[in-house]
Amino acid sequence: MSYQLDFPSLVPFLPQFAAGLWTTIELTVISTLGGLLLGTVCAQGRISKDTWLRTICSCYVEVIRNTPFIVQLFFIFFGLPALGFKLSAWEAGVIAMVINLGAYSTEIIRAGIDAAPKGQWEAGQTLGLTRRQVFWHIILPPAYQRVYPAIASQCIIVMLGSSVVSQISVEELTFSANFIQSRTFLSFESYIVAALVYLLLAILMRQAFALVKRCTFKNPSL
Amino acid sequence: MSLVSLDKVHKYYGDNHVLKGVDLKIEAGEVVSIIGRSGSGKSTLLRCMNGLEQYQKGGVIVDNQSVEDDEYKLRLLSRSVGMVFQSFNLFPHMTVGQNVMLATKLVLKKSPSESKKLAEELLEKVGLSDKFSAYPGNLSGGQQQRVAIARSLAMSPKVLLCDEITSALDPELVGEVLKVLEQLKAEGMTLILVTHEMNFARDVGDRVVFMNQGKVWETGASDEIFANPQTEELKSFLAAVR
Repeated sequence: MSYQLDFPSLVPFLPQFAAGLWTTIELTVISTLGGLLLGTVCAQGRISKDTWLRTICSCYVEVIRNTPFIVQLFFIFFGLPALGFKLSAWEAGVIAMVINLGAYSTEIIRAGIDAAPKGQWEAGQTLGLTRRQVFWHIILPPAYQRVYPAIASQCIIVMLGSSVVSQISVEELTFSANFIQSRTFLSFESYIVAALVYLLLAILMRQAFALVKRCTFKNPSL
Repeated sequence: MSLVSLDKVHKYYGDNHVLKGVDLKIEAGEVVSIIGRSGSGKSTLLRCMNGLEQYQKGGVIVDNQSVEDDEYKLRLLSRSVGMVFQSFNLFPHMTVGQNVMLATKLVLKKSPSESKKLAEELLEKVGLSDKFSAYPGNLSGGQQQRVAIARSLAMSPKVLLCDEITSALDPELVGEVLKVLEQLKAEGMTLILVTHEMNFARDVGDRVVFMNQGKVWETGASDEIFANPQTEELKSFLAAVR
């Protein structure tokens, strides 16, 4: 049994790969920014003095972390239109990814917040800052610094997880690979290319996160 | 009216009766050292003066403001009462200058240039004008504590609470922090210190408050207290720490 790899036949499909790659990058960037913002706000909600707000935030985190991503995606794409919200596949994909990363990053950021010494809150309080000011100016930046590696990993997981949104026909990288292999029957080659591109993306993301870290956290490590 | 006035303050941690009716008056310009064994309620007493701890009975009035469990009132109070902690509690992600300027910008709403000028003056006062752009993590403990003092002074408080501020320092670094306190006393600042520095309490402090079993056991002028302790408990405490 022998199999001859035939990459040259994929060359005409490079534009499709590129388009898919671009969509994957788009999805990743938007959902990373949106998800981290959502996670930060919910982390603040989880330490709020308001019981309702705390409960709502915990429920959100538990529901999302204990259900499969693809079910969340289908719920948003097929379920919400039944309630009158019409969403394009791309919009549904982005929303699902933001909500998913939001829940995981809530827990990660909260861990960073919990690790803040009580004295940091007290120092801020005795300087006359409001609770909100203490949170945003004093507690949050070192919390990010503490959990930065975990956040970076989670964002990469979300990037890789974006392949799942091909299931609702968002035309990202995995969708492109699917499309191309169905046209050429070069499934092995198509997925090798897709896998290598994902690998490269993940490596680039790690580099980018490391760069951001160097530029952002100038203080000696905590 | 005294600057700080505590009236029969009771404080419980659950079943643990920590403060058992503390009466204490402190006048503006006084330097008062609170001494006592660990667990006697010294730090709790200090923390009741700026609302970091709530008390269950009695009353605390500082700078004509009642200290209550109310976020807004405590925020107003914090303009009169500064605090320096044993563990410095500097903000690790900000430079020394940013630490000092944070509250002047956010709370007092001073302009950046005004804040910067004030921060530079205060850092010079504590002998750290060259550390404006350094991060706390790169400073010695003594330097960090002096930054913490400068940070409190930026709010121009009327009284500075010092909670064992030299206890976390290496012995050779204690002097530089105490020197700053002496300087503050000379300028007329009211200081209330929980301290184990008996020499400082005797030589610089005006008055000593000896806490025992959640009560003000004995109080008086510093030289008197050290030369002539009245109660057995204070005698044995002084004998133990000397």
